[in-house]
Amino acid sequence: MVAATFRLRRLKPAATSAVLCWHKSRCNLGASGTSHLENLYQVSRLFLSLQSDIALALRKSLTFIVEVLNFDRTAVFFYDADSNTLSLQQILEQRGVLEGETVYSLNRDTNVPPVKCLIENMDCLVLPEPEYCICVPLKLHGEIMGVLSADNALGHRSISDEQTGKLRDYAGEIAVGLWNARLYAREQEEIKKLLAFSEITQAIISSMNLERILRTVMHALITQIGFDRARLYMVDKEAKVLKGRYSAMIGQGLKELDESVPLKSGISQLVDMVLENKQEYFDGGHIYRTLLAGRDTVGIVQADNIFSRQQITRTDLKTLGTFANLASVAIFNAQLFEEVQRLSITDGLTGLYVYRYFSTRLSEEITRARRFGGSVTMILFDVDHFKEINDRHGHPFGDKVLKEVSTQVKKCIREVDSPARYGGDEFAIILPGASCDMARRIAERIQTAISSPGIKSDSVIEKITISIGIAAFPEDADTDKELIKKADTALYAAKRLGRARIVTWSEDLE
Amino acid sequence: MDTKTVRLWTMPNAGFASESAISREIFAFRKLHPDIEILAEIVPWLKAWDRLMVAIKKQRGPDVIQIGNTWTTTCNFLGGLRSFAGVDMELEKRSFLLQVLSTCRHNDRLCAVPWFMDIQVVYWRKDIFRKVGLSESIFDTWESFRSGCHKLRKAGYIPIGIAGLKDPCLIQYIAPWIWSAGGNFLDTTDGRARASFADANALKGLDFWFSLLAEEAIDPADIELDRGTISERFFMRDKHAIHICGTWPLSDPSLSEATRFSRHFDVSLLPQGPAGRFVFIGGSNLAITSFSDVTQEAMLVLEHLLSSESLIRYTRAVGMIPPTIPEQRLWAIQVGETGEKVISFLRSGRSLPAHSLWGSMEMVLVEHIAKILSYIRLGTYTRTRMEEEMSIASREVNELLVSIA
Repeated sequence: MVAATFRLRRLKPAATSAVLCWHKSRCNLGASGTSHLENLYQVSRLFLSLQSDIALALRKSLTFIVEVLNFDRTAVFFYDADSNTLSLQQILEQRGVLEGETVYSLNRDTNVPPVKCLIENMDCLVLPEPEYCICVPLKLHGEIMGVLSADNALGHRSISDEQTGKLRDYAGEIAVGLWNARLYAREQEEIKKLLAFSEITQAIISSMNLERILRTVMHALITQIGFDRARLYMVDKEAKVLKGRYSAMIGQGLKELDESVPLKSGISQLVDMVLENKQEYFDGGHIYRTLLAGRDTVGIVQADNIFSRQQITRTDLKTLGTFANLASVAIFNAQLFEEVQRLSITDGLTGLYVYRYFSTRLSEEITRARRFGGSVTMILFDVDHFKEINDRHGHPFGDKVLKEVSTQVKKCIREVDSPARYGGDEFAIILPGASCDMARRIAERIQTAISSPGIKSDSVIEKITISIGIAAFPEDADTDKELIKKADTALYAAKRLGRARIVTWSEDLE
Repeated sequence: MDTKTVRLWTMPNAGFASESAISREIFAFRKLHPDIEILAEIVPWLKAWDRLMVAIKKQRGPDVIQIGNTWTTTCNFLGGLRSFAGVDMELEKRSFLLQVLSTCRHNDRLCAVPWFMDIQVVYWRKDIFRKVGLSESIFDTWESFRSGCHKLRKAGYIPIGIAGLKDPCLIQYIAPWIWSAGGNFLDTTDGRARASFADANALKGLDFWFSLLAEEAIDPADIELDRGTISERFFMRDKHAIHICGTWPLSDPSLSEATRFSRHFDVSLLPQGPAGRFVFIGGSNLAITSFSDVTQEAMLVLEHLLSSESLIRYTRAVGMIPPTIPEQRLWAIQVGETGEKVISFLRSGRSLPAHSLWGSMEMVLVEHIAKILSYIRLGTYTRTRMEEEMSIASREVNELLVSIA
């Protein structure tokens, strides 16, 4: 559409080859005698050789245009489609070059020639006095990148047809140069992003450690996507809360997030997203993205640019989505792995460690004690008359007895101790750093806890007792096998002495 | 000889002359240190914050940066600046004006050094005032100021020439009105900071200023223009009677020659409000980034730019005031009588809060002040609208403050 108030100049290649130097030349281009085509070629070469520095290429082009075409002033504006604004990039006039400070909204109230040129969709806008200016859109392949403008306002000189034609040609070259430079910049940026992405992906998917995965994701949100702040919560189904795990902030690093939000509707966006199984929510300032393991929501990430006030772009949202999907797969795998690990080292009935794992643990503890000093004590016990109990009440009751024994053991030991189901009705406990006296006190607690209430079978309460043997490294044994043997000897002695008692190994027992 | 490169970011402190001003210092530095190259980039103010944030997040970018003194503590909080631990003693000897040195400290550590100061000065046309029958006394009180603007408008002049939406100094224009009304930007209760620019006193000052602009004190179309254009019109034409801007006109040779400066212009402070009279002290600091890998060389660049000779030369070129007291005296002598008067204004000087997140808070405030100016531009300003914008801004700032509590 052409506005009636403005003169529209049609594209017409310039016929002359004269070049005018306006004042002291600041570059060697456009020497007297060169043709218009040669000058255009020079401009296109500028962008080719300065592909990674668009600002410098523009500056040299503007200087060239002023000197060759004898304008008082020239400027370049860039168009931003997201905000629909035209921003001044560089303006060259008598006093020098100024980097852009002005941003114009593209609407009909903005009475500025470069804006008018784009709004009215003109190929070229030429204004007579008092502006004496010409504006040409910088566009290629239907995409508008900005506007090149020039004026003779300081000298109050009209713009000639020759100036118009040539400026339009230069605008074409600059448009091509800009297009290629942007492609190049985008390509470089993509390559950098891909490399960084690949690194992060490797780190995430190669780890089966859940905490490490979560920390890597948080780190990526700040350093790769570039959010100011991110917070990660995981769903605790048993406690019915969203538990804070990590928070990350630029300049502050990664910290543990000590926060707990009840999983009740209406409390916060975070919780609602989990309860409603929404994948993503963006309110313009904050982004929320859930983490899935299979079909279950296992966590949620919240991120924002609260400090820098930078806009969260569509690219940021997409990248966050990709990381969240990656993280979800990794979390799922890590949880599966943890479960498999747990199953492979624990006894299905009692939940205590299996013999194979117990052996490994014992060996590790003794190696550690040998290296750093300290002791390792072992408790070995079994259920008295277990075979008779099974025969009397049946195997299900026997299982119940074993489960109850395990439950009581877990309640009586320390956190560092490792309880195991050693055999059918035999149990073992590794107590790192404990003396025989301490082990004895723990053994007494276990004995009392098991024997006092008894276990009900139909209308009968069966009293359960255990016989216990204790031995210690390095006092009683030099190796793990020897330790087990000594504890077994002590246990056997407890049986011989009447059962339902505790015996600590000593030389006499041999 | 191995050449090391130091990347320097400065802002357009001198408009079109910014490049030549910094080039002179780089040239002088190179003579002393031929093995160190300085690659300077002039970053427009409107893009500076974003570019700084990107550099800090990616931990790559320039080695030495000019940084607005209201942004310094925030950039340090976000991990962008290197501490000057151990250098304090030398700098204390330099007699920096305390208000500007305080903007360089964060968590009791020095993270930047003052480079230059800028204060918002009221310039007024003696000739126009004479014609209208006014004198400097219109700047005595709010009431006399309002009445003076009214007389100027009636006589056919635009009372105040002030840049609007395109000016990065929006906070500097409103700060003195908040302070002189007894208000503040941040208050601290029980050790916790909260936004107070939407409290009664602050709003009183803001409404006085904005309603004055809305009613008659400016040409609404000026709000669309940039600082340079407004200043040019004030000093070169006979349209505007009062202009508020920095100290650069005092150093601009083209102005003093072309406009017979001292004959037609004088300077003053903004009028006295219920709680006093204040002048906004701004300026820029120099800092070394935390991700620089040429810190020794960067330090040499810093030391050069802060040397007495360079400070005097650069501040005269860009029209700012040196941050050190001895150099300020020299500056005043060079400028003349008006310069002495401007230096005396520093006694009423006040700066914005040196809070960790002030830079981020400033972005919030600028966004909402720009909206208020839009209302003025469109002729739809009301006190209610202004209070609404300040209230929303206050909520956003408090959200920021809570985020680091």
